Amino acid sequence: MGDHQKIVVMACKHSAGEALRELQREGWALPDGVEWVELPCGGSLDELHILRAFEAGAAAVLVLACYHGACRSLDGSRWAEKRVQAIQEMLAEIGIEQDRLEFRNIAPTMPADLASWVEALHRRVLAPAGE
Amino acid sequence: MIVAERKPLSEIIAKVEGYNRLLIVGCNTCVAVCQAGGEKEVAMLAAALRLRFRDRQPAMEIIERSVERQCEEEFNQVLAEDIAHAEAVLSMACGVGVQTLVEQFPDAIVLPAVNTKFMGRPEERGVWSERCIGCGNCVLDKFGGICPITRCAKSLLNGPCGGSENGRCEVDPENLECAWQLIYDRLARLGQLDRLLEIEPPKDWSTARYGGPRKIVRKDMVL
Amino acid sequence: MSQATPVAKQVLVLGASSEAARAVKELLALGYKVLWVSGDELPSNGLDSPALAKYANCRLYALEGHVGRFVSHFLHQGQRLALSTSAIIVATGNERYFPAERYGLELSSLVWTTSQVKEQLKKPLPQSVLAFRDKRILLLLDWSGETSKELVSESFSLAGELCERCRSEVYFFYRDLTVDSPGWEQRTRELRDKGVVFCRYGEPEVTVGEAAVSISYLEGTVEGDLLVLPEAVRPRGDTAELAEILQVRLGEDGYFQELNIRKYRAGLSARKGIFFAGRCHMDCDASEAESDALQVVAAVDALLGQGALEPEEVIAYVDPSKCIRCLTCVRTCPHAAVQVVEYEDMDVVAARVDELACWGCGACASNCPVQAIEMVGQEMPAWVQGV
Repeated sequence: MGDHQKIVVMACKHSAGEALRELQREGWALPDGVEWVELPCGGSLDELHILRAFEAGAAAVLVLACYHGACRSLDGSRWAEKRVQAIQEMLAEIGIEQDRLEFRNIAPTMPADLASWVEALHRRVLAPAGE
Repeated sequence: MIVAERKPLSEIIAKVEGYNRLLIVGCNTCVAVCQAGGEKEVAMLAAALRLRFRDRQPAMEIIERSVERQCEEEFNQVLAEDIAHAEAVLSMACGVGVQTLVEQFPDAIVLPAVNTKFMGRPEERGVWSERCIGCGNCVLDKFGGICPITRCAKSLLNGPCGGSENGRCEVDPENLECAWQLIYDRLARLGQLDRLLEIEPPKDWSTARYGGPRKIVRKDMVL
Repeated sequence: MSQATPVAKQVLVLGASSEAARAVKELLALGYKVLWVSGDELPSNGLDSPALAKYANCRLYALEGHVGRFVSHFLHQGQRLALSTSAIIVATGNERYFPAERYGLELSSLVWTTSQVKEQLKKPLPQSVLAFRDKRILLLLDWSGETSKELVSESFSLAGELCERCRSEVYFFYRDLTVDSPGWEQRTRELRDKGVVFCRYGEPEVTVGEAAVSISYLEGTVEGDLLVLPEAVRPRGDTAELAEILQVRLGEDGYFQELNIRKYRAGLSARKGIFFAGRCHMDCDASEAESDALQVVAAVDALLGQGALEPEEVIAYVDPSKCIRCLTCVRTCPHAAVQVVEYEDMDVVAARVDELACWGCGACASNCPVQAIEMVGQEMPAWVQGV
């Protein structure tokens, strides 16, 4: 995966988007190589878009949606999780490690968690120890 | 409609491994409605295959197309050039569509990417179930509009077997209803339970698949 | 695309509850035209205005259209009635019943419900008061399961009234008394001052004898002349049917489910322009139900007050020439904003997203099997289109 240089974060704007803006107000910035794609809702997460993110060179994709039950469009975050599971199954057959696609529930009040998830994924995928 | 399901990715990968120029053709009718082989599924499969063979040099070429109804030659005309160019065609249509391409383009190697399952309907979002096996001689009127040939695991025509329990079929109690329970309930609702007293003679299966592949010729429509 | 669509300041209020009446009154005060419809009788509470049309004993059988132009179809005295409004407030309330099985007790001359006591107190003097004069009354909450806020509040009122008007000796038995509603803590203190005895029980033993009732609990046995039990509430029997017609969801508890959004707006349903007020969607007492109705009216006014509606910044658009009418989007949309319709100008039948009803969540687009739905206003990186 040497030439894969980015991480794509696909994020619901109502939760993850709010958390990101809170982080940015505090002066935090997305690490280099992290591409933030903001979605109107977890429900709009398209399986095809995840595959295309990998095609476009993503070393990992992180999907962030609201907690189930807190989705403004009722089912959006549950759809997002289902989509991620379906694509994880495909990844196994394609020969990409399943842990290159992560799903997490998030609330707007969780900027610290957001930062730690993104940084951990960045360390694991883009800057592995020893390189 | 015809209900199908995409083959496991690993099976498709094994089929196409030997080729380097691939055409994937979807069908935007039945298999699109049941989310197995429409334009979106074509794009998904193409993306998955490109990823699978991403290290290949030269890169695998994958062309994505979808036609209105792959079982009609006229709709497939637009594919001629791409089919001539591709080493193999991966069809996401039902078996009828695959064979239409084969008959229409006799030199093309056409591979099925979906398993054609049955004629059925969506019970709810994401759930499809069989309603007709195409026996060629419809008897729905006799059974309250519920087909015992399709929906009874044994296609029994004179009442349930001993495997009907709490309205479920012993073959798969979790997923299958007993067709005869449904028939009984429906006839009771219509006040027509007496219909069940009629003995149904053995069915003539020659109109079904057992009489060989079938064909309809409408004399008034052919010259 | 994002031009404002003018809408009439006209609202349908469904239901005969006190919160419905409160909503009607408030809407009229704000200058709205109100159509007040109920499946039951409507209260005659002096709410009359040229801007108010009342229809009692109506059954809603269909709803067409979307926010800004709903058309509700009713059966009214054997006639069909179609009412056009921009928004709908559902304030149908709940339903009361006596959970005899749960209590394991039958109603009798010694065992009354709170409603029976209330009815008796409404009778003319002196019979209203004499029934309870100088009697010892055991009011028993939470027998098993929870007592709704509505009935707890009513029990408070009854206890106070019995003490003051009838000089009754009231024992108020409870297991857990949550006094989280505004003013409730104060109410319990006042009741105590009036002489109400609060008794907390674990597993009480209730005995109904020939002429007296008794409750044995942790601290001993109290004998009384009358046992009063609060009724229970449940969703009205027609809630599920109404939800299906309105295309809104019910929660697991069988009540209408409001939309869970972060910046809470009162009574918002998943469908734009349809609101829930009071006891049809929440556990609350009558006064809370009425303040909920006021908040809902404020939300309606926030929506319609300008006399025009604008679509969200991001909305879904179906390309009718690509649509294969598979109904996936119709079945997927959590906001009931998509329908398969005839596009008259194009002579085609295809799915159509109502641009004012759309929340822009994109569930339809990501589910479309032929990629016929685009999220207008949504910026996506170039790579999602393929490399």
